[in-house]
Amino acid sequence: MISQVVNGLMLGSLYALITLGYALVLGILGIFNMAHAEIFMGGAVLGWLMITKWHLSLAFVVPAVMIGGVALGVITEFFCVRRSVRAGSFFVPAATTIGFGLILISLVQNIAGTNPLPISVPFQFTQVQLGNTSFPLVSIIVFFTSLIVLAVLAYYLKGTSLGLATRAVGENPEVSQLLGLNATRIVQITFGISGLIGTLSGLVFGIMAGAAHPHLGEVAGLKGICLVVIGGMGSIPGAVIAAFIGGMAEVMTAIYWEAKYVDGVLWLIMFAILLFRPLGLMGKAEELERLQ
Amino acid sequence: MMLDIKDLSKSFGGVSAVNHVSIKVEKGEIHGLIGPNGAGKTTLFKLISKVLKPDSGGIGFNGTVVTGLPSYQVARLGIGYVFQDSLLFGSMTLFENMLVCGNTPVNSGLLSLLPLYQKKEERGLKERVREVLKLFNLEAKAEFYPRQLSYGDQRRALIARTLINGASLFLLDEPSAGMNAIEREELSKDILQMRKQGHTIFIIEHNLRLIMGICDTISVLNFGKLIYEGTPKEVANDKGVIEAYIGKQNG
Amino acid sequence: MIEIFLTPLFLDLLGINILFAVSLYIPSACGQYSFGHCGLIGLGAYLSGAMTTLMGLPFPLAMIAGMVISSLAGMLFSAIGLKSKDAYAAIMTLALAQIAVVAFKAIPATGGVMGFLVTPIVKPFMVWIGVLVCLGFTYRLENSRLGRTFEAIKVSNKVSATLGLNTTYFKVLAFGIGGAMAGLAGVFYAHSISWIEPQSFAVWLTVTAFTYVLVGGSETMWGAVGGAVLLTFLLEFVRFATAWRLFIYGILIIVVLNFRPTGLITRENVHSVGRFFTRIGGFVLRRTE
Repeated sequence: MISQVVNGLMLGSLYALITLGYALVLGILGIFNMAHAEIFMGGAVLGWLMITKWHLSLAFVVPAVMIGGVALGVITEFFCVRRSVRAGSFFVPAATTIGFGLILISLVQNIAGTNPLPISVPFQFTQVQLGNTSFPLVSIIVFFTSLIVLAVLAYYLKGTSLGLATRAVGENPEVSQLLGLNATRIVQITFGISGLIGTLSGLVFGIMAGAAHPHLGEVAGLKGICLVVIGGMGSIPGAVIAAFIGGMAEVMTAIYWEAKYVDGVLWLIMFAILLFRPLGLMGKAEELERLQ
Repeated sequence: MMLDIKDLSKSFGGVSAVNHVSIKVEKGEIHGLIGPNGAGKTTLFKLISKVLKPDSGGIGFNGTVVTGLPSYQVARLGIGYVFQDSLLFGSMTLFENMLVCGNTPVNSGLLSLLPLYQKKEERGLKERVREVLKLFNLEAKAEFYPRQLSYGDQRRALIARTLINGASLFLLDEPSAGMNAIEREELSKDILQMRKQGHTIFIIEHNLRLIMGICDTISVLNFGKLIYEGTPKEVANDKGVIEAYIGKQNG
Repeated sequence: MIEIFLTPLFLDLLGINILFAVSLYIPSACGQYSFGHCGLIGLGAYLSGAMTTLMGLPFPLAMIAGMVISSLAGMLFSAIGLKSKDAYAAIMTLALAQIAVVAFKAIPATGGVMGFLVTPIVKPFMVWIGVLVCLGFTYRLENSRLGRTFEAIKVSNKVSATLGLNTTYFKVLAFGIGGAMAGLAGVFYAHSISWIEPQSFAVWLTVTAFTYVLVGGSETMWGAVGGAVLLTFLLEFVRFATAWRLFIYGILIIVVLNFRPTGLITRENVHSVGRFFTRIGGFVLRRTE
């Protein structure tokens, strides 16, 4: 039983990493960045490129991937979001980012092929003993990474002036401009941060899974949206809690129900949540006022 | 002179909302802007704060030409626009609302993420917020969320927030809308306090008693055109102004 | 070259794509974006396919069943989402699509992951009759009071509500109509392409449909039609470069939405064409007097 709970937590922490990037842009700014899943995939692919093909050491790869993430995030904002957000409806940036995601997938497909791209790292298969069972070291790294990112992000939003400014822009860009905040720049910075989290998560996932491939992000990406809604828009801790619950739910479904239902479980949970508690687990009433 | 509006015009698809208006607002004065509904007052404010772009004409603020700048830069130069639909940020406490601004020594750019950077300025900002809240009698409610505040408190908090943002010229668009007589009294007192501290106020109001009571100069707009300008007493006695409000007498 | 475009398969596909695009256009005319439209088409396909092939029921019955179920599913999921806000309606339809795919994979009777073979009953002319009926219906809708209500809600939800319109009712209605058309498209798809599998109804299908509507023109139904036609033909032309298909779609979306956010065919375009025909009609009438 315990090992199952722990497996759930491990899966949950993976989902948490993906969701955190989403939650920042979707939950705080209200923008559907559908390309985030592909940025996640990009992190894994960059990992393959640098570790397997170029044989660079991890100490170099990690910062490089983070910078790549910021770049991807900023590019997304420039091409997909800047003009579209003014068009009004929430959907136009969703569409342009879907387009950007398609571009990223096809680029990877055409340059690197559709076969899995292996990533191998010395500590990939090390196990750690905890009582009776042993767990992969990588999973433990994923777990703690997600907690660290959560803590940093939460502090950023609550305790720094830039974080506060980001919340303001997300809630009301017009008034923020009148208060002297450069809304465009703040959105750009937020996308950069989200991109950084995205590629970092992708890298960690790639190491854990041992390979990267172009369609890596799709399934997990959509679930990220689902988890943000379950956790409550606007709440970063909520998204993470939802991710852990989601991870547990999927593991339990695989064991006690049937494996083929696993992909649908999260959506069923979201269905139930929207039926009984539309705010989500930790959403605040004010957040519901936005987005019509 | 604080604000120099020269020959400003803006039309929306053939309808001239602001028609070659020129107004000068002097430093330290409370300058009123009145006129019947649809006269173009709010549009004028939107042009000054750069929410809208003028079709022609120029705007000078404290000697700087402001016409080509985006709204957030105009705000940083010191123009604070508090408009009718302005809301406090609902997801933040009153105190947090006060902290959000782009015009303070506390940077909200990337540099601010460096640890220990600007810690002193930040403390200074928080002190200033507490002072201003005390000035507006809102200190006790600092941790409240906007939806827990009364309407009158919220409107005054909006003005307080612009004050902290370092604005020196305040564009107040119908600040007393929805207030009762007591709240309006408090508002008048707050505005006079601000003038005492050296700020300049440009105010749109429909409540003539309020505006006549506190303004030094009043400009009157009708159909986008400036039809009169003078002291409250002069404005009250001008036939043109009375006609604009009440309509031409028939016969 | 032209022969490619005259094969029954291509004609079927073109008609189905147009139908699919218009079915997505209707909720978007009301400001609603159905992320999960692919699920609705899949429901129509699977249900009708199962009814004709596995249960031996007559095709008309299966067709109606497919339309009704898709319509109901669309309305149910969007209504639940709309309790909170519009964006949630879109996400709920996404949930519908994802759950549907899992369900399709899980049901052994319909072949599970491998899919199953449906008797190919439908011929191109049937598809096109369906297309014309739906286009006619949508045209009437656009120019009716209901159509104008949809547009009012799309332009400003808040104002429409204060004018006394029950915006939720209309939005759900839009999903219902759009869902019925999507179901019909699914029915045609199953009975012409013949082999249906869960994967063909994955999110990519919705993305394709959205490309039709957004790139073609989101203001009028002709935009959806035009987009479907343009992209279906385009896809045939770039057969040799299927690897770059995603790339082309992506670039198209980004370029068009950045420079012409309402799509290629705007309301102005449609009106000028309308005026042109009116003038021609007047000219012809005068000559024949």
